Amino acid sequence: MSIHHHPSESVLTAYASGALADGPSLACAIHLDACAQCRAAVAAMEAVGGVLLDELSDAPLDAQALDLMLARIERPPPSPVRRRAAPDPRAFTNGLPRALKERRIGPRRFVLPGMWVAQVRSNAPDRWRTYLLHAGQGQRLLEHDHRGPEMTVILSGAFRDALGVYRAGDFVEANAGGSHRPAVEGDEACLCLISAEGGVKVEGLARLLQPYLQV
Amino acid sequence: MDGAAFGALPAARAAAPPPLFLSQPMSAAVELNDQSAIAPAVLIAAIAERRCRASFAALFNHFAPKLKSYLIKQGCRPEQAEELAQEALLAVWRKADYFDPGKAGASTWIFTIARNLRIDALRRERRPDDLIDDPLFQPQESPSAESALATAQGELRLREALKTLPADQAQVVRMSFFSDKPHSEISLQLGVPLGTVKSRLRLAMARLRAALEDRP
Repeated sequence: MSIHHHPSESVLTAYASGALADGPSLACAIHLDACAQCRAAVAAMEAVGGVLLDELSDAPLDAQALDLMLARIERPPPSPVRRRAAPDPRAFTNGLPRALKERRIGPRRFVLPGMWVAQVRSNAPDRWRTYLLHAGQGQRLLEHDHRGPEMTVILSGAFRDALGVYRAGDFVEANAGGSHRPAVEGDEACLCLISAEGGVKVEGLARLLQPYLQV
Repeated sequence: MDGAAFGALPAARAAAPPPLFLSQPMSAAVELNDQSAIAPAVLIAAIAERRCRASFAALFNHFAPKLKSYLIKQGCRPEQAEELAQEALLAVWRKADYFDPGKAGASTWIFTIARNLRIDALRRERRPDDLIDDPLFQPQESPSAESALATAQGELRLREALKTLPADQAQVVRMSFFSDKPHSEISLQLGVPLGTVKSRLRLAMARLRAALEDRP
């Protein structure tokens, strides 16, 4: 797979340091699964984290901390409990990347035949909305703008906007104020994961659909 | 286990066998002051191979106060920071045999464990026992002695490179890792444009990575 669009240094550092919000982290993890170059960059950043950790001055521990710890390691580890939510039969799960397998994905909500969105439930209460977007061959998305930063990773197929063509594995960052209307490129459908802070702003009459789509 | 697994001991184990006192009763080792001089990777290897409690105590004494410090900087309350530091070291005890010194140094591995535990605590989604699912704890291929040595040397070079970074770059790197603030807030706090924060980070990371990978 050849990947041409990568997360910025700033996004990768936030990912490596644990500061990236849940939705963008998911988008980033999906990209990393496909991109050895960015995996190497994140590994280097984690090494920086390790060295910085080692340099930190010590915070005093509770007087009994070591004894408590030594007692704790003697206890047998609890047997791992698999808490897997019953799959939603309406949920779309075919061929999703590893990082998405554990997520709860809502039902598909169709905009047009072939075009749908499905919410990816967040693990954290924050302002990011994360969803899968599917569009059929040749379809154009609704004209929309962003209220805040938006991060997209392409899962399959390709789309094109004024700035370029994005294919499976590519990671795209957009900022507020960039109204655009991407279109599916090539002869297959396009599936992507989008995480947008504050959600998107659909333009025109189509905004009536927004409460239904939950984007 | 096959012969290859025995033959491919990590360099840390092959090059510097754990000193004898580590197999003595814990109290004896814990009292020794030079325990921090033993490479953490060697301590983790001793835990993996022999469930060595003295090595674990030495590792705990070195890392728990630093992890607590790190977690407080990340916004945890002190008691929560101490609890998470304990959780992180408990994971080290239980999963020591998953540590691959050819892939990451000991402090890097422990940093990523604590980072993930903190994220999980914030999201209250996964329980610590679900750590088994974490990619950090997937079975490792036996690393070669060379790759473990290369990792250790890379981290030494990284440590030196951090010391020689221009102060404004080092500051942005530290804030990125420890203040749990997005770059937009770092830019406000430093009173420099966001683009400057990003370019300092980019320059710093390029230098640090070159040091880690031993490139000019």
